[in-house]
Amino acid sequence: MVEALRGLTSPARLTPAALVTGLVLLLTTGITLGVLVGPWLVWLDTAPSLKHFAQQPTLRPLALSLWTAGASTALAAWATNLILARTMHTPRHHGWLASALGWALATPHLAFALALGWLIAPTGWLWRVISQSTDWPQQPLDWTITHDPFGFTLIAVLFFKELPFLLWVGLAEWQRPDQQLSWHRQWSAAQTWGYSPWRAWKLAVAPDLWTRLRWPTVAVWAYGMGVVDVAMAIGPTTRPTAAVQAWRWINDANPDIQHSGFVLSLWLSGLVAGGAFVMARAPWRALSLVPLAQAPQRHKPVSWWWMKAIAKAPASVAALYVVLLALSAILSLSLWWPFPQVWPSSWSTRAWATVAQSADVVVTTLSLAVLSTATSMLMMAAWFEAAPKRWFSLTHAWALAWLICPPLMWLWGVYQLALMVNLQGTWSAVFIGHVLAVLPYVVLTLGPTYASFDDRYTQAAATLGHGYWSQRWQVKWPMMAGPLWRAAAIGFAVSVAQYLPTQWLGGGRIATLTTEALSQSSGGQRNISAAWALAQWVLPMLVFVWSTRRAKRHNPKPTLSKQTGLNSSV
Amino acid sequence: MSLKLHIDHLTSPNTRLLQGWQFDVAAGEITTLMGPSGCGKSSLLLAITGLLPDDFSWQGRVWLNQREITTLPTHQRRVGLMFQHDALFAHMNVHDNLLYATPAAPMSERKASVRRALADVELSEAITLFPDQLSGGQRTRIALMRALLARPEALLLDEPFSALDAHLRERVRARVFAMIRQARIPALLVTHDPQDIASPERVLHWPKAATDTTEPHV
Repeated sequence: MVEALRGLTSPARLTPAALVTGLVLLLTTGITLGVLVGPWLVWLDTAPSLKHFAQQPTLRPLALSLWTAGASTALAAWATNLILARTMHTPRHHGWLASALGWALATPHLAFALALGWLIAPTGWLWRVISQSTDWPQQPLDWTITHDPFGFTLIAVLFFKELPFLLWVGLAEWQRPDQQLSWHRQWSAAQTWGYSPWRAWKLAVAPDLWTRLRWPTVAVWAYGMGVVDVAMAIGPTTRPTAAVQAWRWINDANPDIQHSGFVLSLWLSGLVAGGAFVMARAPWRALSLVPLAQAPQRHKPVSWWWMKAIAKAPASVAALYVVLLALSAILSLSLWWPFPQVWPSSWSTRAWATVAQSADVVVTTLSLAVLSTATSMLMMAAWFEAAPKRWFSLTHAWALAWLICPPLMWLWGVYQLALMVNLQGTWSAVFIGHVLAVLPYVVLTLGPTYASFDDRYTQAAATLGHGYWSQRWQVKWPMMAGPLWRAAAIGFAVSVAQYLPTQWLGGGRIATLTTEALSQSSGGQRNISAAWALAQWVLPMLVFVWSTRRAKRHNPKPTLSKQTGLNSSV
Repeated sequence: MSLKLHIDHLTSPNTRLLQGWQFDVAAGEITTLMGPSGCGKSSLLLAITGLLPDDFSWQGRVWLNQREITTLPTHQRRVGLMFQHDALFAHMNVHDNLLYATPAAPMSERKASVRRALADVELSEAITLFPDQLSGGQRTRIALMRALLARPEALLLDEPFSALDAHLRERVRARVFAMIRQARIPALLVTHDPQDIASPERVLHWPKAATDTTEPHV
């Protein structure tokens, strides 16, 4: 391996490097094809009955999935567009926004969903506060808020969790100096033609922005269609989303019902692909509520009040995350907290003692997250180091395709493969599932960094007499420390949040913080559920803080404000 | 010490840039290689250092002090290269940038040589600064000093003054040339600015046509 990679600095040794490249390519392609083709082979082999599926009302679950995923994706994309448009005036906010987004991205969907449930449920903290401070009746609301049949709460959770992701992608584009300059010039030029700032944004920047946000938005859509744990925690239960319904069927002991789950997940995949196709073809106008500014309308005044309100969304969303985190902490330490009291009557660490007693769950979660992240990082770093840069866009497309493929679909294939090699129900099978879930996120985080790295730095190191590894350890990787640690933190968070791969490939025998948080959420003890959810939330956050500090240690550059006034005559 | 080149051909993905050309550069001599933008001057320097991109091809031989280095990996060729962009490592301060270039030796000796080098270029007070805290002229001097601290047996300079303002350019250029002559190594300077010519008696002009096989104008 070492020699193979060294070979890149010398044409004479290119063959071993090509071998490594080929192996990595073969491995990832093999896994991809295996998980996609595997289910079909099993399907053809067993030829199960479709009778059960034909008797089931599948239209409503599919429609519900379309509605929840579609509404949350459209809202998140629209709000992202508005927030980026508004903050274009105030680039000083971007630093704050970027760090806040990191925290939001590290938050597991499930922990966020459970905490939001505790906030807005009929006996939730919000209604307690309203009840105490107004003439509101001193009894719980008789409304179905969480698990509502129309999935409004599920939409809210998906919106609040996906908005930071899309903003993060948009901001990453905006923070590229060349891009920033180009957009700002176009935006300024459009204003000199008489367009208002908002219309100038729509005319000059939004179309280009949409081409960059298009595929991440498709990934958001695919996630919303395929999500199971969050939908089980807070979505409709009696008539659930298609993903939850498919998951329930897949877990049935009857093979015919299991195959109904497979057929439903096929339908789901088809709808995801259809939605992806529509979005891939959708014009940027789909992002905007206001029609494109035409020349005669250019001087028409635009009402800014609603845009200003949206522009404050990042602060509001950040505040919501803080409130939910605090609420989970308080709930986990409460012993007796009757409605409508705003604060608990008595406190206890009993819930945390329960978590501490299950230290093995924390160890399993940690081992899976650390090892799957490290494996993914090593695989992709080896790939990006060995592969020609012109192949990077292909890797990017592969990662996006992977994210678009619903987990129910590819996990079916991995499960069948695990059955073939007798790995089902083992830690190793879950580990493989986590690696496959983490890989695309590592690619999307590291890919642009590798693609934009200026090779002249390593070339300069080579001309100074340093070999391959010295160039990497002392020059290239320290210069890329920020993105490398960020990719590690995101990979860790993605692994911690995995529910389906853990539950399915582990056969219910491998428990992690996520599986425990979900199983406890259906129990009656909110404090224990909150302790598990908070543990699931805090672990990725600690890794995020740690990785941010590590990145800063590798890049100890002082800020410009600390620069000294050295004589700069020559 | 001398650098000798025998080029059969140098080809970009679409064009044959050079064919049948040879020249040598003597120790302490700064040979200026002139040609229009995009003709392949920088690619030639990359070929000499073994850094030519995969989509380019070249056939030729390079000798440094009668030792053929054509097939050696870049880090064993002992040929320094100064890019148009100074390529100072942004995560290292000036001291660490220079220390990275010093050959293996006891750390105290390496640090002493860094301090001496900085004193030579009158930048001792910049030792703890990072590249983005330096002016263009300072960066060029540090980059050159870094290249020289690695004790190369030849030095290639790829338009190192092009990013400097006109008033700075002349002063930096004079200082850089003095440092190279002091080091007594062959240097090949690539430029399209006639004012960069170090020694008017030693100028190579890039052949005009891709298939031009005439001897260079010396």
